Amino acid sequence: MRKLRNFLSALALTALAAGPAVAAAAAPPPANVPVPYPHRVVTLVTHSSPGAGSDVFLRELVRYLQKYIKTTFIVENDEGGSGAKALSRVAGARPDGSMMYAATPTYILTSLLSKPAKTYRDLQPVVNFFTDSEVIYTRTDGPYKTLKDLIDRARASRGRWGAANPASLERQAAEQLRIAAKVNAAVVSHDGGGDLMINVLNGTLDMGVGEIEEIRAQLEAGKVRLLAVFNSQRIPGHPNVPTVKELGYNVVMEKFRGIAGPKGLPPEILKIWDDAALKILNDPEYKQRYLAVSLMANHIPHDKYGAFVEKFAADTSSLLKASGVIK
Amino acid sequence: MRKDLFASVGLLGIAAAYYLASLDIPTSTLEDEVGPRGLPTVLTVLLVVLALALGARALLLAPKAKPAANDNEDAEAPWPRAIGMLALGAFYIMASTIVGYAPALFMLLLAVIFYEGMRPSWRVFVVAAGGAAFFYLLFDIVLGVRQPEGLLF
Amino acid sequence: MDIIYFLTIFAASIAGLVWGILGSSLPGLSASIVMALLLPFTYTLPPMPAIVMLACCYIGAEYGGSIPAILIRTPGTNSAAATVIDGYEMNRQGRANEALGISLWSGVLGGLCGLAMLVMFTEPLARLALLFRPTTYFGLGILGLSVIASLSGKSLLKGATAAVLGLMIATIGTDPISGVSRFTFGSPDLLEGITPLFVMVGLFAVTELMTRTGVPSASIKPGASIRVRLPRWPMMKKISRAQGIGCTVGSLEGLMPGAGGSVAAFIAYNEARRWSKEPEKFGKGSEEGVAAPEAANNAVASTALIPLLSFGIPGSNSAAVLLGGLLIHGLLPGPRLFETNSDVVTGIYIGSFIADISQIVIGTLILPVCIWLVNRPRPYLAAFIYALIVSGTYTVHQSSFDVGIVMTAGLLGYFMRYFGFPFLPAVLGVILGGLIESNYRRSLVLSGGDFGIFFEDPIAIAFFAIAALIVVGALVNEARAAMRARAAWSA
Repeated sequence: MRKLRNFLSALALTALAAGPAVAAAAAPPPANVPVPYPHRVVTLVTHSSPGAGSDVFLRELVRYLQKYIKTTFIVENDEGGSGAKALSRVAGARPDGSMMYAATPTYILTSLLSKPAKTYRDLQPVVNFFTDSEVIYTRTDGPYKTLKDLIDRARASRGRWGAANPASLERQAAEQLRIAAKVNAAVVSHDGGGDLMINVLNGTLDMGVGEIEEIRAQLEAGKVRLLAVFNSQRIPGHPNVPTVKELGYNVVMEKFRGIAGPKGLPPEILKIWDDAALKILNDPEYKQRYLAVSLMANHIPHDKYGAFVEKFAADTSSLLKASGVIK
Repeated sequence: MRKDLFASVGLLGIAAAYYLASLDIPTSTLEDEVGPRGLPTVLTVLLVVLALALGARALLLAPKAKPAANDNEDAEAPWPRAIGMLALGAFYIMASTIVGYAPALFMLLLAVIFYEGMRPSWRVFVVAAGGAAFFYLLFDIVLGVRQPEGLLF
Repeated sequence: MDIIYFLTIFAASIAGLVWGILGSSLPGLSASIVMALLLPFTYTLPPMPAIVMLACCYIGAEYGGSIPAILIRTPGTNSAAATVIDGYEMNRQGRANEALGISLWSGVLGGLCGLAMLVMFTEPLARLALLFRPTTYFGLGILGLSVIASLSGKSLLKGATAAVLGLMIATIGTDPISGVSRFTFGSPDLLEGITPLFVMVGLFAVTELMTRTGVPSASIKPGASIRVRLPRWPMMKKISRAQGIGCTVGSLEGLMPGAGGSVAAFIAYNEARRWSKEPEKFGKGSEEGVAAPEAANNAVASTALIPLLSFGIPGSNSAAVLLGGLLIHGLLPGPRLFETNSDVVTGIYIGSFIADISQIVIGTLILPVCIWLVNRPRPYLAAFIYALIVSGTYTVHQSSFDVGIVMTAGLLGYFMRYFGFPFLPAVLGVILGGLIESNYRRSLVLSGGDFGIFFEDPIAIAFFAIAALIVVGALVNEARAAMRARAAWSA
């Protein structure tokens, strides 16, 4: 019966995917013949709940991925244990490419903060797609026009800065900025982006650090202003917003989004994903969609992705240790 | 009121265990002035004070308090039997990881029905099997949640 | 208006409502989980019906939680916890059909009231929502905690102890400010803390199963009829004040992101009792004690949409799922939604109205079945409740660990009951612990350790004042009762 359900949702997803496929057929040279894949159905596991950030991202990705890989993708949400459940499920799956994991820094953080049965080291990073945009924002009718205003205020008296979650990268970034700028600022963590946004809007906080996706509504309505981004380069759609680094504070945060799988995946599977990722990032229609939400294409193939993830984990771990969050 | 005295001792035990566990909370430079240990410490102190008050009241009022008629409360099962009921649930958790959701649920339904004193009859088995099938349909198929999958099936 | 448009809304609204009522009447499934389970089905729908279906599911779920609260003493959702007190008591007196009728009627009124607020006052209420600061939430948490004074039953001392135990449970998980792990013992399952609903299900349902096993149920009188009795005019008049309080408290609480329906229901219960003509009947099967919390949590389901639609900020976990639904359909909630996708907004208004009204019809159809079900022979009923608990709890995170938590809470409940500690203060402690601690500390971080910040916030001061009134009132009552008892003793 479960098969039947999966089949039905597969059918539904195929119907969804048909949309972009039809549109692409009209475009000039349709060079994209989907590559054959050894499995009829591929399960993509995410730790995020239906409708939350990673989930929305993955469902959008899957629609376009089906143009390039000839299989049916199913997204399954395995919440619980802050990602530990999804981790152990994928780590224990057969390494044949039929089950993959939507990797974000969360699976590294959970591995570092607690002792899950399987850690990020039990998975093999396959390919990276994107870097999220992490921004510093303030309310439009507030007194701060640039990051300098904000830092000056914190230097003169005392800054009130906000970050979404206590153990998050945003929190770490705000702390690092405070140290790099040698100013006095209280960094207040919240229960998620909504809570933070209210306190930025009503002036309780001078600024907030968050993903651009979380603040897009307010940004488009002109209620908040971007002061700077933590990415290593300026982000698509906001070419006038400087990076923190170019303003002279050496703080960079690269929140990645990619795919990981069980250890021991065959090379041909890895190649299919490498190639498909490169193609989908250049797909004109998908490009338009992801640039609109300020995602930065960051293709890292499997032979380099492992080292990237390892370095990310090492950096995060030393940050957490330096601040005493973990021993 | 002897009960209150026991409760007081038990609560002091809980407070001690909670306090000891709270010592393992790491200290971090991201801390505020209250810190992650602040509330646990306050709660430990509160629980100790309340437990002592409860114990003191039990000792002081002991002779006065006549057993207040257990107002319209239902009769209660003896404790070994009540713990047995809980054990059935623990058994289900284990069984579900071995034989899977529907069979384990069938066993749970059957066990509880017998435990509640129903005599074995074909009807009981039909109800338990029907119940397991119904819940399987409801949770696995309609709600689309993967209930525990066993190792055997 | 186009007939197809209307029919689409109608169908989506009824489907969402029925799903919500049925889903949330399963113990362990909170309103947000019920909505999250519905979410994948809406992917294939066009945006408008998908969102209407989710919004109406929310309405149904806020109501549905009261059914098991009244019938089997287990709140189906967080916000039905306060309904347990008098709802189940009425059931024990053989008035289950009356209690269900009152909860249904109050739910409809609360929903309509919340909807009216949503439609007419979105602008000013959204501006009000912007006034809430960490200090305000701390004030709200203290106000919520003060309700313990009237939930403690016979002994304030034991009530306070139970509340401390609940607060202790709430400290398990990731520290809300610094992010270090507390009492998790390295287990990733505990990182996110313990879900309050699991504690409730364990304390109420599992403990009930344990203490009643093999005991013929003496006090539950078989209900004369399985037909639901909607309140008639005299009863309507009698509970109208409680409903008014519920509607007001609920509508305002919905605006406070993070507070949610459970706090609203408890505060409404407490206020209804303070303003009642028969406060002594509360806890002994008072109709007002069912009406107030049920009106409150249904009002929340509508006004929680105000911060969501006008800022894109969800007012509750359930509203967060709705936000996910909007995002998946490419809709960006926020100030511009009213211009760019006014069909969706109108759809939500019309759909919610239909759902509120249809609740009466759907309720009168579903409830007799529920009443019939709980009147089956005790062994069957116990077995099915048990099966429902283990399946429902597992569903939330697909985790057997959670089922273990519910069992542990059941054991704790067994001891608490044996030693005469009331459950509701503990429940309130679990619900409010995080809210109080994080906002207290957040406020102090903001002010640099200066306590003055709590007195710069007028709303917080108002909350503190009401809390103080409640606590002093309860202490006076307790002292009076003690004096009376002493007088009776010496006489």
